[in-house]
Amino acid sequence: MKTPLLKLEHLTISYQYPTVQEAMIIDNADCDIYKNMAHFLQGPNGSGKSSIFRSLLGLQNEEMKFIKLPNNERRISGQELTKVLRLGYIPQFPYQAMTPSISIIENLYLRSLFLESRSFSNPFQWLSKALSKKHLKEFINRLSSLELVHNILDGRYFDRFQTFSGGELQILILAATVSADIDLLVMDEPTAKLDTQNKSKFWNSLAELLQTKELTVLSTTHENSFLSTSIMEHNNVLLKIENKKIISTG
Amino acid sequence: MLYSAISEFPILAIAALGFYISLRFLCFPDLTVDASFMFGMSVVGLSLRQGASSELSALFFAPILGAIVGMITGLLHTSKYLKMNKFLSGMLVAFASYSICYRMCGQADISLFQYRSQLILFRIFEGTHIFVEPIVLSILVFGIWLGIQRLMNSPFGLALRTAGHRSEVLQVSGLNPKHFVILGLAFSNAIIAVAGWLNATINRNVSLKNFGMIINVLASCLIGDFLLHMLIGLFSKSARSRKRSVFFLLLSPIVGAFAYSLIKSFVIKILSGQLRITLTTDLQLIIALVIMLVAMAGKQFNGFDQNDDEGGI
Repeated sequence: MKTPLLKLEHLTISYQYPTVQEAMIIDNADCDIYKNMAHFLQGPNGSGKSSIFRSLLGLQNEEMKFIKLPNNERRISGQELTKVLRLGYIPQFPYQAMTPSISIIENLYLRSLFLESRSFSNPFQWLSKALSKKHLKEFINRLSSLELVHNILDGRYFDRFQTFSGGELQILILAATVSADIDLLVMDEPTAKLDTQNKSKFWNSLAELLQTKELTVLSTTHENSFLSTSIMEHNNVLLKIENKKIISTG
Repeated sequence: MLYSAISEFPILAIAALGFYISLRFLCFPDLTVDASFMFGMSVVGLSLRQGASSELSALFFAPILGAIVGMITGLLHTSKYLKMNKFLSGMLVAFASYSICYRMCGQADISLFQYRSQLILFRIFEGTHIFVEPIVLSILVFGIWLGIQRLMNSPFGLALRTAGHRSEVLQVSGLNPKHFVILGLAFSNAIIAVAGWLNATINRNVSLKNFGMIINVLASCLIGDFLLHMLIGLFSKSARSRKRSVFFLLLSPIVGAFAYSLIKSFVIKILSGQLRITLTTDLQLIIALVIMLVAMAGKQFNGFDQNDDEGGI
């Protein structure tokens, strides 16, 4: 049974360069995102995958109101969506999500702290949690109880994040994001920079995490082979960008 | 020589600490330093002119004023309608606050010796050895440093650093990085205003004329960075094991302030002693040259890979 989490309506993405005529990449496309299903967005380079994600996450400068929630008549923008739903975001390069000079575990803790910020009724409550270090210990215990995290971290909690490889970091970010209660996991080509071994490790970790937890996933990826092998058991939807529209199959 | 160095150290250390928070945590080279420093001084002038019983009431108001000034800079930079450049917003606030400070003090220069019966610090240290006051204040600075160290090492302080370096992480979670920038600037300028208060009470003088605290503070931060990077670069073997934690980050304004005040007093000593050069005219030039040399040396000895953007300076 498919229950929609949100719907993208009348999505139009266009670019205007001074020398070239306005280029329309996505033209009036519609698309459904269902609860507890994995959605994989595919399309050639420059077809607007990253642009869709950036506007969905409210990172684009112009505000486009193209997101419709099932219980809401009005369409909302990406900026508003981040305040309604908890979005876990895994960027293309893990370093984009890591703050320099801060140890790996603190970086991961900050992530979950930011994601939990909405569950506090007022900013002072959040501040009081942010000012104490007691919760960090709880977080370490919670995270290292996961086997795949335990294997990577191996007691090196307070090392610089640069001492971990890209694949390890990506898996750690995934685990920390999923361990905070999120509504939608958004991944922008999470394995683009990884080698084959790390790629399969990453997708297997995702499959492992999806078994223990129901989660809605929206991801772009070029790797068809991994999709067919590792996450077969999970309900997944393939979204393809063709002729400036999004076509959903599966 | 040592006395002039150690007496300047507490003021410079606190101001550099405040500036360092905005520079390295928020990536915001905050030129409001001059404004908040001036406000810290002129609050002392105003309160004593109005007949306050001591300068301690000014110590209460100085950080509040500093925080307000910092917030204004932050609002100028983050406001949807202005979106001012980081340098311009700070500069504008520093420029405008001169008028306000002048109104608060009534004149550009107030000697606090006329209020000596009201000054508590003056009464406490009157008659003691000249080294007692700066050493006691340096210990006080160390206490403040410990407090700030604790605060910036908490997840709240780390979140400030995330707001400066990786604001998208905050944005995606539905938080507004602009709020963190404004909060951080308010905090750093409140600290700098305390340094201004200390400057007025230690030197017993409120002077709105020496515009240029920013140079001293920035030089302290750069020298501190250079010294610590060099030491860490020398003592740790591989680039991967080098830890650049928040603890080390906050060490550098203190180390830098001490080194800078030593350099400055050394330059003054040489200039006035051996070379007989007129102090007021040439001091700035020599100090500028010294800072240039340090910056050059810093590039040669840097123990860290410079791929993190650290406020552009």
